[in-house]
Amino acid sequence: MDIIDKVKQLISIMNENDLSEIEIHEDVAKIRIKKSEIGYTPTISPSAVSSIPHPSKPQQVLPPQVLVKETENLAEIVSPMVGTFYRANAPGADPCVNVGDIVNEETVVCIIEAMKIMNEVKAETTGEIVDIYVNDGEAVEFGQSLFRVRPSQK
Amino acid sequence: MGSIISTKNKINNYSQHLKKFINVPERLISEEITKDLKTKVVGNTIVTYESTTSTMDIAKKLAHTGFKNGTVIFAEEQTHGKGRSDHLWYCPKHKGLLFTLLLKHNMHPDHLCLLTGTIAVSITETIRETLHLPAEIKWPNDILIDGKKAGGVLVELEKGLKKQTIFLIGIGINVNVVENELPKQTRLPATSLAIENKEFIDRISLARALLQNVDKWYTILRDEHFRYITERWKEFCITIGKKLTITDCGKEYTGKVIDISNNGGLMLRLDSGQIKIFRGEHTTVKSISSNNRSY
Repeated sequence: MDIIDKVKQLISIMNENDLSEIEIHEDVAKIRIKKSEIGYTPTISPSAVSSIPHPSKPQQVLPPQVLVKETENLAEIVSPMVGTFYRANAPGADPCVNVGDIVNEETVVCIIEAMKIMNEVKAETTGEIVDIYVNDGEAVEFGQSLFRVRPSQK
Repeated sequence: MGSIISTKNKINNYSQHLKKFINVPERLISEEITKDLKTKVVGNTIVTYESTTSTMDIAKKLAHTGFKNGTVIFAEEQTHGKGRSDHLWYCPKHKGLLFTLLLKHNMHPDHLCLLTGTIAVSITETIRETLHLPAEIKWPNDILIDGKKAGGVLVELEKGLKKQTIFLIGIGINVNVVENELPKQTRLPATSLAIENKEFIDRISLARALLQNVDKWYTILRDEHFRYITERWKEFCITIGKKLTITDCGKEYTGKVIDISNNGGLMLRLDSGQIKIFRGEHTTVKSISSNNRSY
């Protein structure tokens, strides 16, 4: 079953059972769909344990009937420097954060390395990680978006 | 400054020396290092720990306090000494110079990469000038002698009070380690200054000389005389002239290193004849061609 069929099936299950949110974890991906007033917010991310880059970007596999809730006021965590993005403090270690994690201002979300200069990036906001834009080991630029965060209600 | 070489401790007879060394461990004493230290910033405060997980851990906590700029934290032993990734830095107790220097500095991102080089130059120059050993730099941060690793640099960034950028500069040097104490199965073959020097070394004098040299080169960086740094880096860098494979933004390139760019990147003549400059921030040296000296 490809990922589009899987998302369709999950939406059916949500509708049949009147669920507002569903999340499944598989070997290579994690899918999370949340129903809101205007539609669904799907999030598909590489599994926490997989270091293999995801072969396709989530936006490219979304079925047309699934709406990404772009109107929601989401925050972004951006790279403070040019370098290489690492999701974990060390190879083989668990990622600092995963989609669905709640972070606060002091939560370390990733490491950016440039010529042996390691920079722990902190969330500097409070909320839930809803998207991770960059794969482990990828090069990033200054100011590039790394994570999308749904800020906590105050 | 006293003699760097501890003449009473000849390395020729390991067993005899080891016994002597274990019985009378030479300790790093803050006051001894500070005495006659001629620096502007580096070593304004010096703290020594007998044992800690990593001096970086202490430095991170200190960064959030009103610490004095240029504070240096030494440890005689680190139980979780840091290298990037799986390359943990191990050095037997009382036998290395393991420390973190905290510097407050708002550096332009373009010059950030020169910091690693600045510190690598400082260490290499100190070893050359005080011990007359042929220390070299493997780009960007390993300190080698005769192709074997004797030390390295690792920098971490931390946001301190009022979001001030703090550089935590971690330095590890194998000083009085003997052959049978060297870690096995390391990425690069390891050595120590004493093994290369064939004599044990006064770590306090070496620490003082090193802090003074770091202070000198840091001042050059702070005053933005970048060319001095890249020129010296090139002079010490063993990587120039080597054929190697590097990974840049996920792609591999093989070629001969012909220069270091002004912001610390590598200039390669690829096998195709094309000349390409790789930004240091995105570049990892993957392997060295077998027709080079192994290092």
